Amino acid sequence: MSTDPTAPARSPLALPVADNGRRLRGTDIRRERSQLRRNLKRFLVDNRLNLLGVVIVVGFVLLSLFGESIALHDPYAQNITGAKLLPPSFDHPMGTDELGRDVLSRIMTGSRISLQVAAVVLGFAVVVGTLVGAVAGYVGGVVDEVLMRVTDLFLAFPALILAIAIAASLGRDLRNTMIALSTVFWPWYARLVRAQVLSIRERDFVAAAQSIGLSGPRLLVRHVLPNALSVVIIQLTLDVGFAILSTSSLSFIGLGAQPPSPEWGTMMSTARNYFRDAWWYITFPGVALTLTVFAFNVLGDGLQDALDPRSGRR
Amino acid sequence: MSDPRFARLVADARAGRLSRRHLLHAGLRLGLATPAISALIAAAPAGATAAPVGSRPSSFRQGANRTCTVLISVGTSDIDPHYSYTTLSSTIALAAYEMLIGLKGESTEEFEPMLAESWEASPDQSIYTFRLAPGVTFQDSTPCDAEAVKSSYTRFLLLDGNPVNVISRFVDSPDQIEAVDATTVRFTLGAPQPLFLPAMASQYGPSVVSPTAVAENKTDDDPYAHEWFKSNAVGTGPYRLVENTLNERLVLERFEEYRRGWEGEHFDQIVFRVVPEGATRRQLLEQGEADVAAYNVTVDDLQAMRTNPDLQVVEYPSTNVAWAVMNAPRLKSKEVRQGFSYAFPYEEVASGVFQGLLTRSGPIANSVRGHNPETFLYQTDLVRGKELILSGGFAEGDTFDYMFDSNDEREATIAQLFQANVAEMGFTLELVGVDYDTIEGTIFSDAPAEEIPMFIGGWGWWPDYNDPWNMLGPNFTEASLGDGGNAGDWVNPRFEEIMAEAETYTDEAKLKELMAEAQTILTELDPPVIYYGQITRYNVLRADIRGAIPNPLYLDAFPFYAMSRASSS
Repeated sequence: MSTDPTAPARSPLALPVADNGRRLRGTDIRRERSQLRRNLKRFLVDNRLNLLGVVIVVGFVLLSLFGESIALHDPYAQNITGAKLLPPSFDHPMGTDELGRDVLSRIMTGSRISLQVAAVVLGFAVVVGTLVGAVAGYVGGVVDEVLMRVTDLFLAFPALILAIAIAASLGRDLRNTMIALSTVFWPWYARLVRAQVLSIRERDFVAAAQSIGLSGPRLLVRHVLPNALSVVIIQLTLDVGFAILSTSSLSFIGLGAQPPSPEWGTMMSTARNYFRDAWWYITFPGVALTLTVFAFNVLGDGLQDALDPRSGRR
Repeated sequence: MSDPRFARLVADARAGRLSRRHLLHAGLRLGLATPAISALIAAAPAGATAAPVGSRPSSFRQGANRTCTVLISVGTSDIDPHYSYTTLSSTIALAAYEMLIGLKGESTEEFEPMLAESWEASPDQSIYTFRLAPGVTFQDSTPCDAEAVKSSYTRFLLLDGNPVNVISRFVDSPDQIEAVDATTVRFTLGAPQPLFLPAMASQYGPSVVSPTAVAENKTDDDPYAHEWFKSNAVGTGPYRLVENTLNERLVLERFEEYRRGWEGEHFDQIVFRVVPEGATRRQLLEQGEADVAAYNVTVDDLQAMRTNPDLQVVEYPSTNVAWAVMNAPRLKSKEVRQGFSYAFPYEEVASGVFQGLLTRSGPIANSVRGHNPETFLYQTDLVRGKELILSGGFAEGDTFDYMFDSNDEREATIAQLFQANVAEMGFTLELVGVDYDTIEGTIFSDAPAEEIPMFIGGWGWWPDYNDPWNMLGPNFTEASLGDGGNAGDWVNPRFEEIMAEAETYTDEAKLKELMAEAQTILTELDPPVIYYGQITRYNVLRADIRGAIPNPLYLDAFPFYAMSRASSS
């Protein structure tokens, strides 16, 4: 988690807002756009790993949206007497599971669950975290103290342990997993945004905005927050992988999605009972999970390089 | 390591010349070389190693030869034989304690001496006299005489633990037990009781515990030292408990003064090792790190293990019937329970999940007295099932909850098969995966029916001794409501009458007749549970283990004293 308070006041991807109080002219917008293009080129073309990450992430998102409809088999259709634990074949490229269901179709369907959880969890975390962080950083004083101590309370526990405790006390259910993970993720964003806001509000352009009479929420929302967004986006991309992994971890130990859900962690949890005789069953969901998490991490890393030039190219 | 490169590396490191780059390179080479070497070793033909296939190096043999390691999936917090009803506690009881008599070999009807050298019944079978072997001592070196036996059975009766019906069916008061002389114990039952001997040979309860240990460890609140016996054992059995770490391991060592002596081949030590993971249990057996596992590797693993020459798979018919409990009040009517009995995927479960190790049956297995081969069996019929559920008070789209042990692969599979059938009928079956402790806790909880799931999968029963009353009583009678085993709160007046009659039966033909009617009620007319069928149990043992004869009533237990490891020549 990087909470670099010296991040730039303007990130190249941030919206071209009038940070010095004057209206933007066409040349400014053109300059912004060309800078964006340069960054994109550097991001994708110069670094093949980033390209790979983007390709996998796009593939994953497409799979999440359309996976169930293009799957070869019904991911829930059972055939225990005829197709139990069949090895990979033309009809079942990734084999079948203990109920005779097609593993490939289940993995394709399962990606939607992962994306759903990641979207809900991080959506909540970003909104709540940003709100708390921005208010704390901008208002300061007692409010800041109180909000940050509450945040510290959540950060004091190891993330996964806290998630396990929450999920276990709420009951075994995917919805409860989302609640548990949301609770774990938001404090990081609160911290991150607060640090950004603290640094940004001391900048000249904020002082300028204040001098022309802007104040309070408007200043925060229009001028301070947009400049803190790039750091949040980087963190978000890195966290997608972590959220997917955490969901699968919880499901693997039986706290998340329940059978017959094709959630990847749930699949692996069942598959470990058969791995001695059916390698394909545990391998392919594992590969899918690894690739997805890897891709999101590469993407996050790449974005950090692109959006935060001072962190240096690696 | 005499490799000069290694020496150089060390020298460089000492001189501070070792860079990060060097270290990474060396590490990478090591990392690549290790699997390569392991692969080469693994790929070498078996004959290339000095030891013959399937045996251990001789040095290992000397150290471990006389230890028998038993794999169990979960421990138990209570091993008091007079109180606990868990399989593990009864397994330990058969090693650490003795009863007066035991079941002989594979028989469910014949007995062999344990503490009693001989026994006789009065002609009307109302008075039983046991003659004890003289000079027997408990593991705490105190004598086991008739008084000790009386004191132990008094404890069994008055402690009122889970298996108490094994004795309370026959004995109401301790006064009916009499120590005639030092080696003679007499039970005066007051009425003809042909089943008293089978009950006294049960795996559950009639173990003789040391009265001295009870006296030393009792407290004012706990006059029978139950708390102490939960984790300790003092009996007259061949093995004494020396270590008991909950959910880790239990160790029993041979009791030197055991009355039958230690001539011949026996194990010195029995280690129960808790290994929750099924795949790990299989691996430990295959590698020879463990010797026996009772019914806790999956059927799929079993198929692979059958062909392994290092292992022996012993299947045996059991008295165990498996079922899913139905919550009678929440399922509203008998039609609904009949409907769900039609919805169960019997064929898939028998052939797909149990792969032939399950035979369709009603509530009484064919190895148990009173079994009726004509008992009605449901066949999967979703149309019929749906009609019955709708007529019984539910509407299309209704949701039902089904609790199952999610750590048990077989139960998870059955739950999903059933769920698919229920979905096909137009209802929703919500699966609630929990651990085994929760299942057991729910079955024996006195919570009201509304707080119990509509279905609890993967339950079942086997009798304490060969008798249908004992098989059905703990599960389906009014007396077993609340914290008893009747978890579905099922009550049927006619069934109560039958059971009252069967409790004191003396006429075998009459019992058959009564039980035939009971089985019809329990299946066709008013099913309290969905019967999967009767289970063929199996043990997996290392190929060199001898003497582990399974008994259909001593489930998951091993006759450790009779067991040994064959010395391979």
